[in-house]
Amino acid sequence: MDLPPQVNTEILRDLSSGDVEAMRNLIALYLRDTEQQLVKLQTAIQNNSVIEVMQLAHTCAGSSASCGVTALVPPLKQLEQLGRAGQLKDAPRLLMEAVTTFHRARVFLETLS
Amino acid sequence: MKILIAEDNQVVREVLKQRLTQLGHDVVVTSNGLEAWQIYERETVPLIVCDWIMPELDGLELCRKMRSQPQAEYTYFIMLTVRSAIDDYHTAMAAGVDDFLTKNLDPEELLIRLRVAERILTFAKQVKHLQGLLPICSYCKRVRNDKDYWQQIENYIHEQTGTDFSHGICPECYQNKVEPELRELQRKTKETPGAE
Repeated sequence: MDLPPQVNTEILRDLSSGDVEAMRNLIALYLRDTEQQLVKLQTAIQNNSVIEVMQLAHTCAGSSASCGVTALVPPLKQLEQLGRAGQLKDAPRLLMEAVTTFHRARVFLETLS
Repeated sequence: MKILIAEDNQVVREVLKQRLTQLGHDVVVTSNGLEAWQIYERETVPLIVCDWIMPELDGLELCRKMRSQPQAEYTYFIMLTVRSAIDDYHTAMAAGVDDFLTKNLDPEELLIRLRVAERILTFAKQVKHLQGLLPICSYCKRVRNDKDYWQQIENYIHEQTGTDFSHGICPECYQNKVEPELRELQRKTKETPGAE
């Protein structure tokens, strides 16, 4: 059985000031937004749009970190760096890692909301 | 304090708004640099927290535009970023960015950065006040402070900036004031019976 993904739930609770409904809304917003970002990221990699890869990975890493989903940050930061370097050779592998981590995080987050 | 957020990502925007509101600040939210610029043009904005990469107008260009058209009051600019290359920081500082925050938005770090910002903004106000016109008495040369008291200029500057004065004598005053006094003293000494 997989270990639960690295999610700092304290960050989410603190952000919602203990309001369960506010935390639910934030989790829903994060999951919806991140799913969209990852789909866009996949398209950008397929199109070899290096600047777009850099920007999307940058945004997604930031929102994940600020919502406490820290496990998703390293592959996204690496994708951002690949985009900046203009070299996307390893990008599909990193995207797969990010998508897998995101789906595990989703299962975990849905148990909280 | 009024804080303007410019961030295109809805999640980061919401998290930042929540954090700043929890700290008791008055938060105005925008989703791109152009919207932020429009607000800056019509309102006093003491502090802006801005993303680097945004549509319409990115954080760096927004900062350059703001610095080229400063408001009456200084705007403290914090760049929100996940960038880590040292060249990026040099570029941002050259554009007029005052500080940086990573996007994980650690609440303690945020609080500390805002305290620094508030301190710098207070200093900026004091400097501006000093650089402005000071009411000064034409006779005694005392200045009127912001509490309407007249005080010696050296005391006023010391209170505002912490500057201490060494009290030397400039060459002109030495020639016009000190030398005549010394000559007068020598003359009196010569006239005094029993003096050498």
